[in-house]
Amino acid sequence: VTIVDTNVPNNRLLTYFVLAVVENPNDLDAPDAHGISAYRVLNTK
Amino acid sequence: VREGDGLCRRFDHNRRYTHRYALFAHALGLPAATTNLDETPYDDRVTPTRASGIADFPGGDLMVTLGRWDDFTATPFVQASTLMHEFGHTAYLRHSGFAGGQNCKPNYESVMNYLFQVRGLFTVTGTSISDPIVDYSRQELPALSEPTLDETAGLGTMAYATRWFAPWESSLIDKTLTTTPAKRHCDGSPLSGAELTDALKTPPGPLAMTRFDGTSMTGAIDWNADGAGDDASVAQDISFSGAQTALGAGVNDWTLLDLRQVGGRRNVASLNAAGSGLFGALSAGLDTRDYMSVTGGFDVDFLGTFDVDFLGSFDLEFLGGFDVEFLGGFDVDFLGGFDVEFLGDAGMGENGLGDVVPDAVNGPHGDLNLDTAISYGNAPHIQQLVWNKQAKTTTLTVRRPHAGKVLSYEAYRVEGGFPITATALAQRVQVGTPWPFPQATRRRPR
Repeated sequence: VTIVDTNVPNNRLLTYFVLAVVENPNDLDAPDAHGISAYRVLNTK
Repeated sequence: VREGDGLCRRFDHNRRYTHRYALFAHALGLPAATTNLDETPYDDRVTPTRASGIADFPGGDLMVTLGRWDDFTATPFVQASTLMHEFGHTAYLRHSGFAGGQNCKPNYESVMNYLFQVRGLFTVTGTSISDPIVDYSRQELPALSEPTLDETAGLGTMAYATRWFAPWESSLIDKTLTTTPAKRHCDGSPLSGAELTDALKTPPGPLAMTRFDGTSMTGAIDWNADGAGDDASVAQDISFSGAQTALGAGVNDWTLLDLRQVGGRRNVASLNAAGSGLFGALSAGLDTRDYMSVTGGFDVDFLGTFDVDFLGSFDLEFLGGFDVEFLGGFDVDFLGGFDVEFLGDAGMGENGLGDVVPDAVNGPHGDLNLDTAISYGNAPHIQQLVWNKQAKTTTLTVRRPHAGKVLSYEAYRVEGGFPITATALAQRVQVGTPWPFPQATRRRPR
């Protein structure tokens, strides 16, 4: 999956992370949002 | 498979004491699991289960059973990590690093630890985080006491960034993003009634816990995930077992791997009995009864030498099937009393101290199944980040979590490095378009 950030400021230290919303097999109407990805740091200087 | 059953023999007998066998099967069928209670929304009391695998402990056989995971196979990473995990059991590795220890210790960085089996291990170099890694532990990290955790002490220099559980309401990032608390203990056992109530509340209550990933391999550790690793004494169930306990020091798996498994399967010297572990059988199995009673099948083929000298009493009681085949020399000298009692089809490795059956040696535990993995071990991974200065764009290549069906991703950008501050989080920017279902909305669990 590709996600594009289209308005990245210059001269900054930025950290990205992604959260997944996944199906709750025991309640399809209440998805789970458990996992936060490892952080990725970007220096735009 | 026995020859003569109309089936071809696939496993030569002369390899049984030198080779390990791994069976990748669809699912593991089990009788009622004692760790599943009515109050949990998960129910694995009927077969087949979603358990990731099981193995002899120690021994020669293991199974990887991921057929009820995503896409009927789980991801290649989970296949690899589960194979290495179950192999570790056959080589005498436990979930905690030592007998009686607790699963999910942050100071035991091993694929044997449920904290790291599905999610993997990460190295951190500066601000660069690796892809997930499968490994056994490589060092003896210091002991921890959950009632008195010193954040400033950390764990020294670690081979990998560690991972732990923190209260949802003290976790800056989880509270800000309103993530879902864990709905199982880390070892897969169900939450208590009070824990489950707090986990399902909106907002979650004080007993709700969430998994937290460290962002460094050295220095202080922010156990309570409040954004600063400066608390001198934190009382917290970082292993999320349901109680705050002392966590023994970690172990170096690579120095403890015991590749010997001769006798791991059924044989006359396996010194075991159904329902008890190896050590239980040795300590409690001595018997002075002076009879020999064979009430079940007894089939012995001696193709080589067999030499037994009994200088003392020798008592055998077979109440179930018993199959011995010696393809080489076998020599037993009994200078004292010796009692072997097989109450079922059990050998040293066949009590299965793997990932499902609670036992006295390995400590009580649940199992790592799909529900457990989704409950807390799940996260996507940013595989690649490409910045285009001219276009002012950043392209994130995101790999799916290792468990669960993804409905949507939420990507965020904050200013500054990590650890992420409260100010940076408050000013976060959500980037990109939720994928693949923009219409998917996230609701708080009931």
